[in-house]
Amino acid sequence: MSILINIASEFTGKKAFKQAEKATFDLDKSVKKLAKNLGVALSTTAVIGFGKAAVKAFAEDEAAAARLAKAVDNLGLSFANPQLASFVDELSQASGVADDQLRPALQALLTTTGSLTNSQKLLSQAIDISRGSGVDLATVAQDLANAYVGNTKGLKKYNLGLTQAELKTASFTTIQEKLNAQFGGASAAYLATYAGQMQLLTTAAGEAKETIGGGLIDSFKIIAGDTTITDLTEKIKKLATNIADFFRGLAQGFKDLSEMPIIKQLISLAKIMLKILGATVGAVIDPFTKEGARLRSAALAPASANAHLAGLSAPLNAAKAAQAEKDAAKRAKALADAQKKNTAELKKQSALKKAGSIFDQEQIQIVAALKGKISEDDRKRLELQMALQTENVDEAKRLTLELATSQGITTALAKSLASLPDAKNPFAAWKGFLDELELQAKRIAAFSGVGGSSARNDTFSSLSPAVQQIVSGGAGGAAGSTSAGDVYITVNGSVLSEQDLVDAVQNGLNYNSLAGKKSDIGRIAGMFG
Amino acid sequence: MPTEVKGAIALRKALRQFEPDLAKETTKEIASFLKPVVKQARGYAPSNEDVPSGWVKRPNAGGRWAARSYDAAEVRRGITFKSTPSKPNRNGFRSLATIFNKSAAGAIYETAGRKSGITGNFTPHLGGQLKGKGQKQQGRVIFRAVEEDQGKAKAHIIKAIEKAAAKLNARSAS
Repeated sequence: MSILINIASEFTGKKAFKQAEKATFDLDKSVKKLAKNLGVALSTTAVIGFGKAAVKAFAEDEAAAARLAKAVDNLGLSFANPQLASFVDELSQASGVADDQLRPALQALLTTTGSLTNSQKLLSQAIDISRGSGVDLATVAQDLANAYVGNTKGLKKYNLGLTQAELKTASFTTIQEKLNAQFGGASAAYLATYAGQMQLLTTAAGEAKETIGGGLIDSFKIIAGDTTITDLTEKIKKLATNIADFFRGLAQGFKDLSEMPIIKQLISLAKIMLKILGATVGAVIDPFTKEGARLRSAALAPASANAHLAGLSAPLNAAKAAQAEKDAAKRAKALADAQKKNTAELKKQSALKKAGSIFDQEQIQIVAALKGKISEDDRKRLELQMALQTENVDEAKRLTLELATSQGITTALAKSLASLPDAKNPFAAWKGFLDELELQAKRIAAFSGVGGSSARNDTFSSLSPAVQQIVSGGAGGAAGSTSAGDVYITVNGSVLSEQDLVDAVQNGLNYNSLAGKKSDIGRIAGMFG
Repeated sequence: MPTEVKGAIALRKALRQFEPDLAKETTKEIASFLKPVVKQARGYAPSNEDVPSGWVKRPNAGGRWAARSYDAAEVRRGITFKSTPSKPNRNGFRSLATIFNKSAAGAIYETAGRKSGITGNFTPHLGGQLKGKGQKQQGRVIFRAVEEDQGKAKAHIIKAIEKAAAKLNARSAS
């Protein structure tokens, strides 16, 4: 491909443009009539744009219907195709969900369940779930189909209040009940709102567009005179492109014409005539409309011609449907059994895993150090290890229980040792004792002379002979009493004060302790000896 | 860049029909205005040493890139002009004169990097300057030459057409 620069270009038009002018002029006349019949002032561009979109919508819808029909055929349920088609149409009208969304969802459910009834029920439920959760219908249908065969991963997003383990082990019926409880009636509630009403209208308009598109395709085929789609699309493309150019020129021409006074008068006259002729235009259009309806019926004629044959094969179809339902139920039961088995296996695995977590080398060392008993527990642990390796669940459970029990006792002992109260100060009671000693000594000193008074004499006689001797001064001057009645005791040694006495006693006790002499400590009474 | 004129093509047709010598003269005159632009454009095509060595055409080379490898002589040979009216393009336009860059390698050198920018391993090593207005009217060879010509050739061509029209009218009147 060479690159070029055009110098001094001029628009000269193409031969094809001139050929298209006539065709577009004819098309323009019929388009304007259609606009009048519809009672709205539609621009040619808008009508042609709608036509293109309608054709496209019809083509896509037809392709989706073909895919669903093929899937149904592959399941051996070809007889149910008309029933499914009407079910989809009715559900689309009732729920406001476009049929091009319903068909893929139904296909996913049908291929998984294999049952017409179940798949239709699940589809209705899927619509409720989709409206309630905000997840699109295709995803919901796929999640339900997956859940039917035991894959519940996709259900997490619906927040059913089940843990992952519960989701894995729950049956499909349980899951369905949960979903119903959470999202039941969501679609009806949505349709009662303004947005829901608009959705119904939009869906209905979409269906109308598809129907018109189908009619347009047939009309183009008739006009073009051939049925090759490639040629047809080329012609449609040229027509659509040239219409814009034609009307551009035409509009300019009309504008120039309308400025002329005589033309203005003619236009006002034409308006009056159009009003009168308005009714007759409908009469002109009606025959075409009727002809189009006749052609549509003719296209459906092969189906209706086979209606009597369908009536003859009804019992056979009913038998096939019953067999299909039976097969589907059998498969559902097999799935449920497989799921139960899987659940039991999962539980077993979980138990073994739990038992394994108790076997801890560090704990053995700690318990042995605390208790000093190794042989019995080690034996139990070794037995448990063997049970885990041989996957003997019952034995592992028993030993786990015993070990757990054993560990529980050890743990309790360790706890009790740790929670013992602090030891009391052994010398805390000394002060009390010395105070008492001082009191006794004072009492002794209260006796001034021997036989001073009767009370004193009584008290003096109650004292021991050694103490009496001390008090009467008979102990070699080591003790005596003054005239004032004070008793003095001379203690030989270095103890001159109370503190010296306390120190002397303390030192004596420490000496005894270091010398290995036994000392008894009564913690509770605070006594020692 | 292309200037829209009215009636020039019809004039050329009329000249060919009624005044063939005047038609030839007009063609030669238009060519004389285009030759300097084309010569300048050929000068902008680099030599083999100035382009990435892996792109240079090798003898007995095969494969898809054999026809797209760069050869300075071939590229310069492909830079030409046409001074007679062209056929209508798909939009219905015809031009009085055209400058071409016909070779594949010439087209690559002309337009490389004008959309994606001078990035990567190839375009930064091409050299040259992308000149022209707008993304699709930029280039290193013919577009650069026409841009630097600043419309002088175009003006001369239109003047030549007008002169031919005047001569035709004068001859018709007489």
